[in-house]
Amino acid sequence: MAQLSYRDAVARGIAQEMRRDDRVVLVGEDVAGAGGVFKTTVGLLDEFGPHRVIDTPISEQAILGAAMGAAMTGLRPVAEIMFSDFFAVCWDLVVNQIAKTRYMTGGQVTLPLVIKTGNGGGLRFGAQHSQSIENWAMAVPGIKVVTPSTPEDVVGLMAAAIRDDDPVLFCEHKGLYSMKAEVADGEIVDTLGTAKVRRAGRDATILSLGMMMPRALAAAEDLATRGIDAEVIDVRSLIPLDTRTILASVAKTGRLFTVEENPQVLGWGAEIAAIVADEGFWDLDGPVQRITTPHIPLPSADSLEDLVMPSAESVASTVEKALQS
Amino acid sequence: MRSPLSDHRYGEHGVVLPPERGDRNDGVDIDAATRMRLYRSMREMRVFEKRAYDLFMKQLVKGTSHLSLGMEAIAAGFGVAMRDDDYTFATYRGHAHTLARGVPMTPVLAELLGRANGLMGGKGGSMHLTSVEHGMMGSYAIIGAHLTIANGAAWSAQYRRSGQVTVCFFGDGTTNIGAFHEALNYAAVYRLPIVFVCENNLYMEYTSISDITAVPHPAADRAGAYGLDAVVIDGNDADEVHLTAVGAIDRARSGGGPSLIEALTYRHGGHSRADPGKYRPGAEVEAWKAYDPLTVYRERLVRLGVPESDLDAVDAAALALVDVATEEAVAGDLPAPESAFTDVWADGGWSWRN
Amino acid sequence: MNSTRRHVHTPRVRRLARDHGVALDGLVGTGPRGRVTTTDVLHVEAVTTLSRNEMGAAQPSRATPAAGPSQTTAVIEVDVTRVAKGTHALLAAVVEAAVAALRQALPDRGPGVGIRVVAHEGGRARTIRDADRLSMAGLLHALEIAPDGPGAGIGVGPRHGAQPEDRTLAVHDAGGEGFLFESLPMAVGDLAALSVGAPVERVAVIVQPDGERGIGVRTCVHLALTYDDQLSRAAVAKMLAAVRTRLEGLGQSVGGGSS
Repeated sequence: MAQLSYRDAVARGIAQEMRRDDRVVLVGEDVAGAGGVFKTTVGLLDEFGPHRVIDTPISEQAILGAAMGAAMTGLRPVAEIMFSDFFAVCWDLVVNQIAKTRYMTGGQVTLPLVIKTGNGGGLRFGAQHSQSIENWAMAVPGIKVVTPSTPEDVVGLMAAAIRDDDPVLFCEHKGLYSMKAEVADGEIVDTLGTAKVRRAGRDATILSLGMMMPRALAAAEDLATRGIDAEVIDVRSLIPLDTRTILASVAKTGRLFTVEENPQVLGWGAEIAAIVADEGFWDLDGPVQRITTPHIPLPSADSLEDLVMPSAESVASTVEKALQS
Repeated sequence: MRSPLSDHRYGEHGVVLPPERGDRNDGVDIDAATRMRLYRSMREMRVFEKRAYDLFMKQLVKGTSHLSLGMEAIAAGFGVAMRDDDYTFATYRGHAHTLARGVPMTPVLAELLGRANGLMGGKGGSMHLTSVEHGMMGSYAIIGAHLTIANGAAWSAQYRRSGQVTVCFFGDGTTNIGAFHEALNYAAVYRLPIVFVCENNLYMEYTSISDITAVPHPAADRAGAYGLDAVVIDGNDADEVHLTAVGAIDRARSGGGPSLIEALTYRHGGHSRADPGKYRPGAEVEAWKAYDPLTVYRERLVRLGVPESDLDAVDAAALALVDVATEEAVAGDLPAPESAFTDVWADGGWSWRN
Repeated sequence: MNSTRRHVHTPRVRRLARDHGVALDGLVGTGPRGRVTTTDVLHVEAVTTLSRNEMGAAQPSRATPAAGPSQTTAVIEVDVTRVAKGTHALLAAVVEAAVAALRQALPDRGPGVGIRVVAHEGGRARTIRDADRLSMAGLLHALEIAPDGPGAGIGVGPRHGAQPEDRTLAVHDAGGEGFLFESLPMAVGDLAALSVGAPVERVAVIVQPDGERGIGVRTCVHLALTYDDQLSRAAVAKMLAAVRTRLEGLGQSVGGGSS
């Protein structure tokens, strides 16, 4: 056991898999010599050398294209898109090429690749460097999407993503890079498509992911002092989605809340709310409520950014008010 | 500074004529067997594309398709030069490139007809023809994207030290999209074993390429920006294409890095089946149809002493092949409904939740 | 609250009602804005079930007076030395113990169901809601039982409301007349009637913590429970034992958990 930061966990997960399988390679802007702009790939160039850890030009389309072509022909690449906002620059490669090619070729092509990216806000980087785009990816058939919220999950889900034979979008949260936690030594391999109940409870189900997870947990602790026992679930994987765990929780509590960093319209919780409204309808004891950033670009001023993103306080007060009305 | 659009009138640009007909390539160092392979390959592509056109007119081919009529020499010239385990990446105008790698006609035709015995089971269609087992790594419908993907296959071959070469075909219009520039720079930086082939048929889609490109040769004039040689060849001369291909592929295979080849050619038909091609000057179309790669090559082979009857036999055999393929494709079952739900994921399924 | 107002029932409430055969029409809700809550539904179900199963009777007895089920009286003696002196305190203590025993008997009630004490004072009934949340002092204060002995009725009902089908455990002060116990007839709607006799001082055997027996002066009281076939003998024995345990244990464990 040792203290491991979220950012170091990224490097640890990749290294774990690169040691195990020669076909795993890492490619991206500033990932090799500099160890990544967020220092998530420190030490990898030293350990694995310049043939396996590669610095690229600023060419997002070329980076993802290279990852796809290599994955089609025997390698297992990990490609980095530095800020997830930049997916807009190479979205064609993600949704038209990577997501669809296996299907269109009748299964002739397999794409065991991982795209890792720095996702999310809270760091005052402004609207073009702070977005959470996991909901964009969730909407496209053919890509798996994971959003770890703890260092341990980073290692385990990175390993699972690399070992998976399908394309996986690995959304690191920039706001969690400094987070530290105790993580076991040795190999860690998690399972895609599994949510985790972080806090069991009886009165309400709160779903969250990424940087909203610590806020949801803090809200639950606050609610407990006011007699509301909330169950908090870390969704962790949007595609595949662990609907079973979510529906079982709603069957127990009857109340569902999501805490989403995405702007309101069609955030990741919208789909889950729809599923619960359908398949969990008879368990609902009140309206499903999504606690999200409003439908606006993210402002850069710290006071404004903090105002608009969901906080532990806003989550707790929303849940409490809902349960009392 | 020249401004391409200053005098632009839609359809009213200058005429671009084909090279002079001649025997300048009669004596090049290509053996007879290879030449016959080149001829046969082109003939098969020609009869296939004509049949695809006929079936489209009979509404058996659905959607749209982009035919290579008139452009066969490029696909054949490179196809014959490639090793079985080399990789081909092509655009949505990829029927000829698929046949060039030895993929049989029946599954290709059946794919156009949307049948279960199609090359991809009817899941991809005309624009996405792929046969991994033949090294045909896909036909791609988004302009420019596949150049970046082709780089990945080349990188993989380099990483694995397999000696495989990637050949990536695209049109003149591609040279103006961002992905082209990213891919060329990327390939040059890593010295990837790849050959980029621009099939310049003078029209991006419905617009003359010279009207909307800042330089006269859309591909060759960009090569220098990436440290590559400017190469322009007669894309309708199979021998010229083949020799160029052999050289570029050898260079890539021996670690010499990427090449960019611009091959001049012309479409006999429109951009797609829906396009009657009225924006091209009549004189230009006539001249290029006369400079048909099959006609040019047949004349050369005859000059070099190949009996006409041998060539007729090849023509007949090709026709017979396409007749059989037509029968088998038309007789093909519609895809099973369940097949719409297969192969989203590596496990063969489509499930996104439990 | 106007009970004829059309309520909007949540899907969960509707499903629970359907699954347990509870009619939602006319059900008074204790939730926000008068909504029927899941515990309201479960309570109706629990009380019905309790009457049917937990207390041992074959079916809920809504016997008309003409049928007149036969009544039995069971008597126990309780050492109430530890209970604070004074009749008020004793009655309050018995009420509190009976409330606790009732809570034990209704395990699936949920947090929304409370125990209501109806204090009968000269023909007027006063309701103390959520009696199980009151401390002994609170109960004492709330009961304000006059020394000449009105009884108190304890019933189980939803918080903040009253239901016609509530069953009442009536607690009467027999000791006010100096009786050791009374076997009182049950009123319609009573589950049972518990009489509290006059406290008597007597010499009694005391068991020391080390097992040694000694003699001491103890204050004892008789509790008599009159019941009919709504309750089984076993249930009555259990309940009286629970009341005795609680009364004799008073003051022993500070802040001891309520049952």
